[in-house]
Amino acid sequence: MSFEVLIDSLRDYAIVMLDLHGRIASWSAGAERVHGFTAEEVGGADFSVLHQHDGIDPKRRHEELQIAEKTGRFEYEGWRHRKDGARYWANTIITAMRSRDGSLLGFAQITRDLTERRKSEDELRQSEERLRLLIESIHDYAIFMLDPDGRVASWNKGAERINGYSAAEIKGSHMSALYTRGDAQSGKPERLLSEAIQGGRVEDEGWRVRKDGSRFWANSVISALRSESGELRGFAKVVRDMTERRSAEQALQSRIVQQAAAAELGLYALHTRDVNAVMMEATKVASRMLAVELCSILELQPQSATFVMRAGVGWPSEVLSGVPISIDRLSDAERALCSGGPVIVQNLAAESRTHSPTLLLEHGIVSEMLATVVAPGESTRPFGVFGVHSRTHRSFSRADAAFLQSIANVVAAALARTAAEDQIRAAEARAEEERARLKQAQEGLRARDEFLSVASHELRTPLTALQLQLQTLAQSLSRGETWDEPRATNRLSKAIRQTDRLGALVERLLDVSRLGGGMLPIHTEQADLCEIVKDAIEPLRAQAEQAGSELVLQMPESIAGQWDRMRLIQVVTNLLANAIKYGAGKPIEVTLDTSGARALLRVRDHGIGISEHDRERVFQRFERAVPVHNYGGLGLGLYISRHLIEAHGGSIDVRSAPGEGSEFTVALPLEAPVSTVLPTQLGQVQSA
Amino acid sequence: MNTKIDPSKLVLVVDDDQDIREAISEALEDDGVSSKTACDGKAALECLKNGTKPCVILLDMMMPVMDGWRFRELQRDDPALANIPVIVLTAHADAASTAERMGAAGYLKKPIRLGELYETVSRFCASDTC
Repeated sequence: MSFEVLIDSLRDYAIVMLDLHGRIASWSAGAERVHGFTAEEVGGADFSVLHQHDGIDPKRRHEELQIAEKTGRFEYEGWRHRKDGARYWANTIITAMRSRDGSLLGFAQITRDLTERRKSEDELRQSEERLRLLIESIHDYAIFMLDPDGRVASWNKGAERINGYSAAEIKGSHMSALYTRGDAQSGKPERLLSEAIQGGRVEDEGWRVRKDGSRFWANSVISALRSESGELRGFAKVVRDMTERRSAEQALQSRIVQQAAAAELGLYALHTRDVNAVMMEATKVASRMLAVELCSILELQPQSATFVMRAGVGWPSEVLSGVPISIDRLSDAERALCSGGPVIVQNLAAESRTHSPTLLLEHGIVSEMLATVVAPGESTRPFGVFGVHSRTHRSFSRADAAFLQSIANVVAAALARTAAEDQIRAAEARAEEERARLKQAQEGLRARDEFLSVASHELRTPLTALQLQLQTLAQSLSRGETWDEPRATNRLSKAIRQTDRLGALVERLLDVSRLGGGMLPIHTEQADLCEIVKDAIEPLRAQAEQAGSELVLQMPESIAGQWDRMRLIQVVTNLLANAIKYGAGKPIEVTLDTSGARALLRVRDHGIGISEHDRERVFQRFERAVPVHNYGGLGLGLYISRHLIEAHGGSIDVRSAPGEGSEFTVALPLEAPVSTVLPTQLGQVQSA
Repeated sequence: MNTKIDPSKLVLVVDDDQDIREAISEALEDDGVSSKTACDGKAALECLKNGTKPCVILLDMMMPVMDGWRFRELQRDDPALANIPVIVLTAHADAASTAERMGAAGYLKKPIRLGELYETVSRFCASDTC
């Protein structure tokens, strides 16, 4: 195989022989492929013809030859153009060819088409560049390289942002500079690196320190980098600042705790009827959950720009004692009321847009947050303001404000429930009153019906007698009978007595009517009570005798005082008539004496007696202690008597037991009150 | 006084009101009828047990000590007295039903008409019946 064949088979190399002047002397097959010219086209031509499309002065080509002549060799790499103008990446070496004696024979130009290689090299470079830019441009992650000893070898923008160091500042430093002093001293960085070496990768979460000394919560992944042979080349470390996510998690956690506390307070409010206790608990919960020293529920006072602190934590007792607090002494309570939503005041001293909140400043409050407590019912005027106040500067979050509002809402709900319950209770009380009134009215109607029945009986009794007497008289007259004088007088006087009885009955009914109107007049005069009692007893002696009751009278010579003679006769007559009626067949004792400035009259019978239940009732209108059909009577006697006695400034009492008789005791002051008109006792009368 | 009192015609008047007892007695007296009076049921029973045999008993209902109902019960329990007719004296509107319930022979409503009194009494005090 000749040398030329070898040369021609090298198709990737253009091998061209040039003479001393640079003219093409020989042309290989490879040259034809690389340059695009045939041997015929370029044989004997100046070699610059090969580069006619490169835009380079042919003279400079010759300079290349001169360099090759001088130094033996010229090498060039760069873009060249073929005959057809297509570009290729060429590596050209021009070698000076000399004879054995050293004289220049010509030049050998070997050109290689490296376009393909060049392309892949470019691609690699570009991809490396892209990756570098990518890593550098990542802001959220610190991505950096460590050498096998743990020293920082590369540093991206994210690392600069997150850690605060520039690349220049940190390169070459050990990565422990990024850890807390405690972590660094405990050897945590080295431990992480050795774990990365062993396991290829290690993940860690914890506090890291920035250049300025501040801390951040970091999540980091360290990967060991090894060569193909497995030799440790260093570490890649990716760090993410988790502070925000961590604080978000913490905020979420605290929101859950707050919501649980609000729910718990709601349950407490449901089980507690005392709204003040709910308010107290609400202020405790709010101050605990929001970690503030002071907390308050301020109730807006009706028709004034003042508040009263209904519940509070951290306030001195004089503020909590219920004294009105002017709206001027608070900060933005008014604004909270107007806006409806929570108001946050970060810096109270700077917050003087309406007025100076002296009360709050006096107590060293710096920050506060206020929520409106809506009023129960339809009222558009709020109940008041729920506030939390801090002596240190606080930035309350929206979540804190929402929590405060939810606590304020629990208080509002408790207020609404209490108001509703009060309404129900009031309605129940009204219904109860109504029932009692109805019962009273029914009772009154029953008593009145009975009274009417009894009154008609009582009125008919004298009427019956009177009518019989008048009819017999009329009959006698019609028969032409003549009555002798004593008989006529006897009959007529009896008839007149019936009219007296009727008159007295009517008078008593009138008394009742006057009592109802509070107008039963008494007319007192100097009188002897002994005489009065005797005058009352005398007409009843015969009746008592007939009933088989002996009248036992015991009294001093005289008891002088200011009395309404006729009215007291009425009282004694009534008591005695009752004693005869209910104590028939047994003796009746009437006793009169004095005790201090009072005269005491006792009427004692040994009849059927009065049960304990009936003792008070007998003094009421239309009442009697026994079934009406057994005993007649209007049931008014004791009722009228009691009022007459009370009009004298006295009192009447009864001691009795069923089957053992009754003793009525009347106490009358010796000097009756000046008033001659019975005091109105409408209430008692109506309840009778 | 033209009328002669017939002692065989005897009426027992039971009423707690003295004026009524007297007025009835006097009216009967004017008609020639004799009467005895009692102020309540208990006194009336005693009167009957003491041998008084009236043709008829005029009985008020509302009385103390012993009322008309109780008297009537005890009277009917006593075979010696059970057959004496009773006329109820009452001011109540339901006089008829009261009389019926008590097994009374009749009733007189207060105020009493003199003619009715005489007519009623004469039914029981005919000269030949007592």
